[in-house]
Amino acid sequence: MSEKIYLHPITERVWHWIHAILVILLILSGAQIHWPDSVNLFGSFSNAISLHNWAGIFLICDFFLWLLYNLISRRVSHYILRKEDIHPGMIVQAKFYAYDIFKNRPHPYSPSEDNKFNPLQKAAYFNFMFFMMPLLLISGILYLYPSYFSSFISFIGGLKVVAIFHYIMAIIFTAFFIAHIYLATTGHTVFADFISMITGYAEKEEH
Amino acid sequence: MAPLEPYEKVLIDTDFLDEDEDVHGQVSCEKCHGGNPESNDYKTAHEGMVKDPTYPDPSKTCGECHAMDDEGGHPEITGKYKTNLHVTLAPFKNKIYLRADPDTCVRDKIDSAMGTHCMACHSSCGQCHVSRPESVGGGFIEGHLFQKTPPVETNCTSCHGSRVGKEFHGENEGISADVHHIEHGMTCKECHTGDEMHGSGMSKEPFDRYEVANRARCEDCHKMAGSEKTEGDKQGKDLVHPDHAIHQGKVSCQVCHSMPYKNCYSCHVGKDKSGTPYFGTTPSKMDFKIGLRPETTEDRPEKYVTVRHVPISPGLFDFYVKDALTNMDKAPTWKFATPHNIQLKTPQNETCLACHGNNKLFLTKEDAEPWEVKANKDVFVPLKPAPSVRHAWLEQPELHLKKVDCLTCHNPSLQSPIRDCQQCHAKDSVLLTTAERTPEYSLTNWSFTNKELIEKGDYVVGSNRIPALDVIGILLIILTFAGCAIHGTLRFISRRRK
Repeated sequence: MSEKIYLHPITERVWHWIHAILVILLILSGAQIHWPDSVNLFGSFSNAISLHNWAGIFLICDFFLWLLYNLISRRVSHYILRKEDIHPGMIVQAKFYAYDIFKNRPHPYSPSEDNKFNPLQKAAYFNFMFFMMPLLLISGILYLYPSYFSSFISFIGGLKVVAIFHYIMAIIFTAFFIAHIYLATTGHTVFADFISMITGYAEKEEH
Repeated sequence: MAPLEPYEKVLIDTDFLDEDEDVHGQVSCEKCHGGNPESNDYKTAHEGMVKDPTYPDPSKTCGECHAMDDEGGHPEITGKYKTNLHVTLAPFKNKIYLRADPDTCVRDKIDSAMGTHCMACHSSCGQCHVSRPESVGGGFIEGHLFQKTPPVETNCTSCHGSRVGKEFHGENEGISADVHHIEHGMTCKECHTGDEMHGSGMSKEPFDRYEVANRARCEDCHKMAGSEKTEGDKQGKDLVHPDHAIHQGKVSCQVCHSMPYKNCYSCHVGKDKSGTPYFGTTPSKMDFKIGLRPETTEDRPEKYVTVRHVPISPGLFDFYVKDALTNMDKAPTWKFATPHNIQLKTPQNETCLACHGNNKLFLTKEDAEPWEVKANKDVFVPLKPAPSVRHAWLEQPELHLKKVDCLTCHNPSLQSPIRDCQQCHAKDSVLLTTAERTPEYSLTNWSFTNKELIEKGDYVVGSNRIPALDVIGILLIILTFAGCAIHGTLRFISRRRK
């Protein structure tokens, strides 16, 4: 028998889906801006620029709200790796994805209200949300308002450096986004984690 | 211009006799017009009377006072009458002679035809300052009162009306009046001074009205880049736009700032059955053509100028003498022109590419009739390859032309146009250092500044792409997809086995 636990409060779910939509829009419009000759999803280059600009601004707001919410509510603890998460947690979890999952063995770490991510999720989310996302957003801001930051941009090597950095980060985020969606299918059923992210409830697996 | 009633043409205003109104009224009639004031008989009283005592020789009339500068302030005017273009029509006559058969017999017939038709358009002191020109029927301007400045409507445009007058006053359909007139209320005299109006143009052979001393020049009011206006100059807007620095001395002002203007064709003269002289032309055409000026001068160095088709045709004098103009090749039929419909913004100056590469603006062989090709050979503009072809050395030339402001590379402050990619696409890009690229926004402007970067053309689409990095990026995404797909497939298979 499995019991249901309330894993994702409404605030987090709303944030999550807004974040998802913005990220999708940014990836698609970014692709059109980067390859305008071969990608045309939004009618014109200007439309793509405009959409990318506005989605970027909303993502910055969305990110800071998320940061504020997690710091104030102390739910930031979900993202902090504990000692046991690093060893043996990450290895156990990696072994699960690499081997145990094909043997249909249960997840080594079942989510709980206090600890909803497995060690690899914690490591990945922490890196992406506290380190890489700010870098991506900062490079985007520099690109949005190059004239305000002209001395800093010149210092780091010009707009080209900003552009290339922004592009590399965008590629990494896109790859992460794909992996994130795929790993969301590795719940106890293919759609369990998606449903959980809508209803807020997840089934606690028995070990 | 409305025609005058017969009485309006001849009635003298009593104000003319008032010394305060017009000092010329103090001179008795016969002093200028001749006749016999002692006679009470109509016929004898008018014996020897002349209608216009100022033509052809005003020295005995106007010249009594206006022959030289004197302490009374009389300007020296009449001394110029022998060479005054308004009187002599010298350039006009010279151009006809240049094209005419040199045979004396033919010349005589041409002279006769010109006397009947062309030369009737001359003016005189009286036909500018007292009455309307005879060519438009004459008649006092204002009851014989002398006009220091001839009125535009009754005098200037009575002769210069069909082209310049209509252009200046915006009477050509769909084309606004000259900005100097419609926005600043200027008339002819504001630019064309008395000195010019009495000028000879003899500084150059053959006489040319564009060589008249003290002629109107745009630079008299508009300070050109790098020049200083002298004290007392009229105040026109300074020409601060960087385009002036680029085109100055190469392109006449009208090339960028005039609108389409009238071109006339196929003039022919003759007499009807009653012996009344007439002239006719084929319908005129509104067009705008840039041609080359065959002979540039130090004073007028511009090579590219607006050219207007003059109405001359080989059969002009056929009624009087067949094939009189055997040397049509001696002078162009598309002639340097200064259209009087100046606008700040015109279709051809909207963007650089609205003119550069826009072949239909330039006079070519295709614009000429077969008989006038040779005459205009030095006026035709050799067409250059399209801008995209001329910029083929660039990576993605079309993209650069579409997105990059021409002035970015052809910046007049640079010693030569940019030809090295690294000048823009590098850390110390000129795009960031030239003054013209300074952003034009303030902190109160909430729009994205990258919008300006893109609109100004400083953002070159794809310029920040590194093909190798693109391959790595796409590969990473494909591998992620592939990894997920393989992982998922294996999961699916293992579940099925279970």
